[in-house]
Amino acid sequence: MGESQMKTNERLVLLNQRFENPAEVISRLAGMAKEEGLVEELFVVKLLEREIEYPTGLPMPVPLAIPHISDGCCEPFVSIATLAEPVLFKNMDRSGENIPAKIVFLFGILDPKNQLSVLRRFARAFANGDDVGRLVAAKSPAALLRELDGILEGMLDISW
Amino acid sequence: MAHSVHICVCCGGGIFTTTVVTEEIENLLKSKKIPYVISPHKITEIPNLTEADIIVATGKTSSTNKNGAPVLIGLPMFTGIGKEEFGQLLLDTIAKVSSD
Repeated sequence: MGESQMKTNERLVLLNQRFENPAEVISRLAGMAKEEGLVEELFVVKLLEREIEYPTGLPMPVPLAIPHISDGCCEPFVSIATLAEPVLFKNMDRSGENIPAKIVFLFGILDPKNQLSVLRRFARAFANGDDVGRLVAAKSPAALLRELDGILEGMLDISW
Repeated sequence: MAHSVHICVCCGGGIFTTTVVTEEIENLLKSKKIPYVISPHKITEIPNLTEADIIVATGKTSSTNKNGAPVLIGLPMFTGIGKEEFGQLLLDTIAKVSSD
């Protein structure tokens, strides 16, 4: 089976937003995915639960967070928010450390084996401060998606 | 080595991080020609992973399996930060469990 692309579009991108805490960011980004018909309500509930028990902040060159789950996900997608002020997520290593995330990538994942290339490319991009810095600095959702699609070497499905 | 080392990789959701960490570990073990079996899991499954010789979790956990398999924190394989050190720790741990 061929590897599938990951869906996203301009309605799944928020720029320079203010949020108080991880739950606010996750509710908003997952809510947008729900409006696009990509997830069921279960996804939102499970993702919020998961972030408390198994947080997803990562101490990358540009600190970020990657909430993701497969429960209630109908199609693989990513929704993204850049943050006007950092939002404190807990480190995924469960050390309790606060990670002041400047950007959040929220993923719905169905079969990870079928998406290994795109997940691998995301992981590589996260480690690259310049790549993530360009996303954080994007002036429009369209510009962010163009930048991201370049970084991921065409693994995004933007036109649907 | 008498048998392939069985590594269970665990993260919160058993999907994204586990998938990438698993691939990184496979690349390392292939390059070292170490026979292995590797499988993805959720951290909550750890107590039931009786087949595991080594457990690699992305985050801290107080759990282990019934055999008391070593539990390593494998997040460096995802972030790339401290990846070399983690790789060496994993190889040392494999050598240790194989000699037991």
